[in-house]
Amino acid sequence: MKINWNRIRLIIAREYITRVRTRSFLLGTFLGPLGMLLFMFAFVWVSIETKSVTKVLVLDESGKIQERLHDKDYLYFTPAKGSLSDAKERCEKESYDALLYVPQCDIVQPRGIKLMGIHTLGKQEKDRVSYALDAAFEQARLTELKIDQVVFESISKSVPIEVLSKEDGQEHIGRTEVAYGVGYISAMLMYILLLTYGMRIMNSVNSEKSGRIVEVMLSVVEPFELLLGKIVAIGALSMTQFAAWVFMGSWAEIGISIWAQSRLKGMPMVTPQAGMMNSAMNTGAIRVTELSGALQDIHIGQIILVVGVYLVLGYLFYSALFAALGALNNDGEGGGIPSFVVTMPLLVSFYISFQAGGSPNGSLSLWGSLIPFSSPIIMPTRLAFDPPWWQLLVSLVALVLSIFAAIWFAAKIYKAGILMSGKRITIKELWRTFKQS
Amino acid sequence: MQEDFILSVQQAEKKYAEHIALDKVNLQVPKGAIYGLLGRNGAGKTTLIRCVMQLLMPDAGHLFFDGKPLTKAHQHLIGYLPEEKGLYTDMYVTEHLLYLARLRGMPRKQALQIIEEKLNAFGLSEWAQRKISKMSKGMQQKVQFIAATMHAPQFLILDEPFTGLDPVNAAMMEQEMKAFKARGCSILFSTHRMEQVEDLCDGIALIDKGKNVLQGETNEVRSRYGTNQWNLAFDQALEKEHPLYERVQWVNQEQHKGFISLAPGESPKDVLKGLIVAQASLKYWEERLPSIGEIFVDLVGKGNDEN
Repeated sequence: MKINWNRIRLIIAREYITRVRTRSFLLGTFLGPLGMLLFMFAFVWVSIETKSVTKVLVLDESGKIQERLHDKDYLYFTPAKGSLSDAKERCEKESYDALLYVPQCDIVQPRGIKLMGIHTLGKQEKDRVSYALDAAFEQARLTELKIDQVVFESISKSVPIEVLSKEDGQEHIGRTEVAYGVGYISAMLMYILLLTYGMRIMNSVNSEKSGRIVEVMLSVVEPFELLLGKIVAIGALSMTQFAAWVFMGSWAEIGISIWAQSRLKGMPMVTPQAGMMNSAMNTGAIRVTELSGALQDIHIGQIILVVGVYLVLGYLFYSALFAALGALNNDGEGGGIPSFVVTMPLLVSFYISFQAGGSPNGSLSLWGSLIPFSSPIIMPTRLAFDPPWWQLLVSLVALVLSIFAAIWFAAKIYKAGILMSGKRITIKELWRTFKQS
Repeated sequence: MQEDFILSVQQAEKKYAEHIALDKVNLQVPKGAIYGLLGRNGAGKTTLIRCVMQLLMPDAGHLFFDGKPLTKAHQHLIGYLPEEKGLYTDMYVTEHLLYLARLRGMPRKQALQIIEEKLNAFGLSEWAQRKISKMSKGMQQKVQFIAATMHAPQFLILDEPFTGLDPVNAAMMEQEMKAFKARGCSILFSTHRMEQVEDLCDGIALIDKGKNVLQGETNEVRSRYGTNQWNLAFDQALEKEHPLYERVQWVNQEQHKGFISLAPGESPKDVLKGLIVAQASLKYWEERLPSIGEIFVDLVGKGNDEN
């Protein structure tokens, strides 16, 4: 097979230009982020504004708990007197959400406490009551056991630990959480982008298959050329969109920073609240300084570069597989090869990335970062933990070799599957055509 | 011998998992001829065309182009028009045609010149910078025809080229096909419209259930399937007492026209002799050949009956 690069260039140009000028692309690129922001704002607004009030009637026969239950965040406690049946009746009559019954019991090892909902209580409602009850019992126990509050708090304090790692003869401080966070963000980003771009390729191939233009095209160009052109063009299209979002996001961030600074400058800091704000800002500033130090410490620039390389390589690998999948499925007719065949390795890799963040040098993390199906997601997760350079090299070489194999394989599947329309494609039939193509 | 044919298919076989699409199919398309490929839906026409276009590889058999084994190198000598949807409808007309021309290796300037000429010839110049999706089905079919022919192929494969065309545009398409033939181009086209087969085709091949049913020159095929029926006409009405009167199926009583069906083996000469003896005023006598459409229904119908 002789590859004609000029034809591939023409295919890339067509696939890119015809998509980039569509209304849906322009809307998705420029209005998409705005829509996302509006959606997030609406979500937060609705969750704040529509916060439900929970009213709990408390019948405390022990006499030690009720006074220690404090109203908090739309959770209100009202004391009740009399028998349990009276309290139940009142609860229904006066439209309380639940009745909390605390019998005469040992405060240290209580038994028989009941929370009776008028309707089935939500988990959040139940948890909020439970937290309030825990706090009330803690206070009651301290009193009962005559333990001083200050003493108790000093005993309960967690032990601070400074995590150090030695590298290049130097000690580095406090980077585990930051490294975990960077790894998690990388994995999440890779998963979403590979899946989104892969699906885009799959749909593109699938829609081309539903027409007969592909017959005309394959009578003029090689399947490999058409496939490679499509993969590169849609990759470039996705990068264009991503770059536009980063560009708009950067300008939005600069704009917001300038606006926020101008607002803060004009604010007099004389009230106690302002003092607290100042303090909080200072604490925040210290944290930001620590964070930026940690980010510098884990070579964030290098990580971004390597994540970028893995994104491009991972895209080439997975897009070839998604393209093959698109060629095997008949548009809107069901059947064919289910898409989880390709989406499952991505999903599994994403789950393994949690493990990789927690135990970056474990065998699951190691193998996951070397095998090409999972390395585009797992190796970026491990990058912040400084994996040995040879592992990075083996992972990249394996991925690059697999890209060639995947595109070769996908081109054969593509040629075999793209013309099979109007009926369910069987594995046997596919194998026959695969061998011939 | 092979050199006489632009395309020769020998014993082509193609199987899908449970289905035999081509079963030892033979096809010979003479150079400079318009050849009709007939068959019902699912008969194997598209599979055969895809094998010729090398989109599919036959499981067995041989294909020759101009006497030589068919290879990828021959693809630029072939033009292909699929039945429909063979266009990128999100592109503009000129953009689409230029794209295909450039993929075929045509220089941009030359391609643009040819595209302009072709669009003018087909009355589509006003649509040059408009989106294909905005065009009617008939217009799209014309754009497909231009795309298939703008590189001046030696051999043209047209799959249902008249789909979506109104009578005026269908006539235009026929003229174009004849013009291509006049320039020495050979054409293989599949169609369901039998009246066009007789008008256009020098030869036909009929396949059914992946097998050859018949093949040959159009007139020769019609003669082959003649059923000893004869058209006749008289200057004056034939006397009712004449023994042939009852045997004639009168198509037009006023013009004394009809046809007669002779028994197998019955000689038309004997019938003519009888008419001359009876001094009948016979003015016209010609063999009544079945149309390609009748032959098609007859042969394919038999196949159906066997099932």
